[in-house]
Amino acid sequence: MVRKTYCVEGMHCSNCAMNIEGIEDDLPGIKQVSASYQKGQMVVEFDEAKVSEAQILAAVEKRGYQAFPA
Amino acid sequence: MNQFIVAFITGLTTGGLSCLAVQGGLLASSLEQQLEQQLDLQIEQEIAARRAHRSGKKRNRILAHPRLALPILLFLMAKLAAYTLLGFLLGALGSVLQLNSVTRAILLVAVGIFMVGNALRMFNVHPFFRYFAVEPPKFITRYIRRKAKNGESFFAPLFLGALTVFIPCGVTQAMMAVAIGTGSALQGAVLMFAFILGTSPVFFVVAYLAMQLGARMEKWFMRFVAVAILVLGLVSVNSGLTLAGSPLSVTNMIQAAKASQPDLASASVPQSDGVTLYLSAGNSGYSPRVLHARSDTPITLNVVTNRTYSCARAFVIPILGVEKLLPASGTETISIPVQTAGTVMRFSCSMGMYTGEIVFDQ
Repeated sequence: MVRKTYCVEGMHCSNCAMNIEGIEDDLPGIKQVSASYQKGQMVVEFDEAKVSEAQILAAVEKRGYQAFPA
Repeated sequence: MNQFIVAFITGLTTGGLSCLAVQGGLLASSLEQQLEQQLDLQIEQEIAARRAHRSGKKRNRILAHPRLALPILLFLMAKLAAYTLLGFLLGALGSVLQLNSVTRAILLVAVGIFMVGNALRMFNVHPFFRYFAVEPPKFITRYIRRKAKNGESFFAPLFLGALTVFIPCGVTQAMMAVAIGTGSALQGAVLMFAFILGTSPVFFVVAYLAMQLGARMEKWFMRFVAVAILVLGLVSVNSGLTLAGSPLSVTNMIQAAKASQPDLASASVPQSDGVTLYLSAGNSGYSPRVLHARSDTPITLNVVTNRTYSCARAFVIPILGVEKLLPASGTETISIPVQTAGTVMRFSCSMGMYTGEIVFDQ
């Protein structure tokens, strides 16, 4: 299990952070996502054996935001 | 009463769009199941209608999302109830704080700064302004998200409507601060009720027709909302400064510029003689706006009302600590001790909207 921080672009309110945290439900290997609109970041705790970083970034993009490693 | 009408209009014009931008996604996800069912039903109806048309039978009219109106209404009703309760609690909090004109002035300025900060955040002026947005605790957002995802029948919109109280939009947050400023549980509840009631028609219509705003429209709406919040914020700061008797407020500066102009409305009360002053408190403010008094003797100020129902009835003189709720019709007498020559004593209504001053001459 690893814990990584990503910068997120495109959030315009705290509801966006809630929306991004929804990728928890999209990908089975993610344990927890904690997104912050104020910091413009998200911290993802995930199992590298089950889900890749590329899949996580793609899931965020699918929800209308751009994420990249901090 | 004016305050509640303003709250309703604010909700109707900017609040509805702002709320929809923040909470619309929640409503949409809670209605996802109904939408899918509706889509299936429509496809079936369409196929049946085509078959009927081919066989020469009369075509049935297809209603547009008849089942969506009720869950949206339930969502909005639950939201209205939850925010009215919140307004009650915030108003009660304000009454516990025992707001006098000084604390109310501080609160108005703070609310104004909060609103201006939120407007600048929406304009993306600097990432710092993101700290003006209140982020609900993670366990609440996670709970709401789960409930939205597993939404079932009509319970989900009802429940999620009430939960929107935890994810208020920028305009709503500002209105919540105003509810504290009322200093009364009942007034706080009525204020929030009026505001949320105002947001409901726009919320309903746009949600019903579109369910989700397109990205381009949302951007346009947010700019509009940001401008409105910016203006309301500046008005709030100005009201706070006016209430504090600051010469820096726009209202007082304009009044200083107009001071030499005769006030035609002053004929409605007896002429002041420098020792006994008469001031009319009407539905559109105080008249005359500038009173002249002698500086070598105590003054009697008579504030006259005649079917006055505006907030001009809540009369304050910050420098003397005078706070009076004037009768709707009648005369309130206020004694003013000896003042030094050149003193300018500002008075206003308790919200700093209507103002005037007494100038103490030689």
